[in-house]
Amino acid sequence: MNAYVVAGYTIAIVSIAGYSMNLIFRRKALRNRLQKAKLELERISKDNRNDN
Amino acid sequence: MTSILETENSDNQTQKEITLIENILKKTGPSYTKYILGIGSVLTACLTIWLGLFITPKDEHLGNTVRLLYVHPPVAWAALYLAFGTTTLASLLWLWPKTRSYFWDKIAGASAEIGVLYLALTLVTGSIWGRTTWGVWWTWDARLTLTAVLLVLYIAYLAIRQLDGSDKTKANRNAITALFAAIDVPIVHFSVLWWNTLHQTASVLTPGLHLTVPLSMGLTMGLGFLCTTLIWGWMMKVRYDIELLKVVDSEIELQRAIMQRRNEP
Repeated sequence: MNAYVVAGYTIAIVSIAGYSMNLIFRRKALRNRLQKAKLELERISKDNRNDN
Repeated sequence: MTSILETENSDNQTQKEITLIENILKKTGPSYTKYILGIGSVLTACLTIWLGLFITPKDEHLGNTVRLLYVHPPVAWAALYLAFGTTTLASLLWLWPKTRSYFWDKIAGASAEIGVLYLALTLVTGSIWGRTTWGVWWTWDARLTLTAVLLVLYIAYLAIRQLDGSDKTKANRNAITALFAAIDVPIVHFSVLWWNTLHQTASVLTPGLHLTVPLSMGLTMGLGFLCTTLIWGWMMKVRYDIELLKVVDSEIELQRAIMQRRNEP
């Protein structure tokens, strides 16, 4: 093994893992945002029905 | 009377939005496809690294540098043919009136983003290979230069995707730009045949599908190809989920809707 090979593998692994994490967190953030919005809409809908 | 009707309409709208969010959350949630692609990616990656670094033999002339071959051609294949091929096909399917759907525009964008990552890795691993075998990090060889141009073209494509406009205008603009960028892909592919280049021609498999390297090296490289393909598949799935979530998030203008409901008597 030489330093060039180790560097090549490390760069590939870190880049792919980094981008994968980025995708996971972006999706998680959007899903959480929609989940919160859904709960809020459900609460509002319930309040409206109670008001009536 | 008007007030009761307005409240009912508002409640119906709220219910529709709730259903839309529920559907999209279900659609973008965990699935067998994502699990299979994800676990397959990790397993093949671990196996490729283990075989590539520790099991396969050194090359007689190149020594340990040959181990870069288990990374460089697989990422190049995933970028040029898989990712950019998908972007080109999806762009054509958008432009063809009978198959026109925003799904294709989103697929094209998702695949191009992954392709740019893979192509950047192709250039970096290729540069390391060049340093150890040719003695230079970079040379203005036809294959290398055209690959660098390809990277710039697809970065430009991703930048153009961010431009403003109606959905249809944007999708048309994206598709035409993608087709323009795709012209460079076959030029990169044939560059080693059309010009006298430092970069070698295809040398592991002959045109008659005869393996020119030991079986263990051929299998490890094949595993590398499978690995980059599975990773691309998993990334595509998650990246497409993000596109769907973004559309729903902006379409229903959640925050505005919530504020409006809050202000209602």
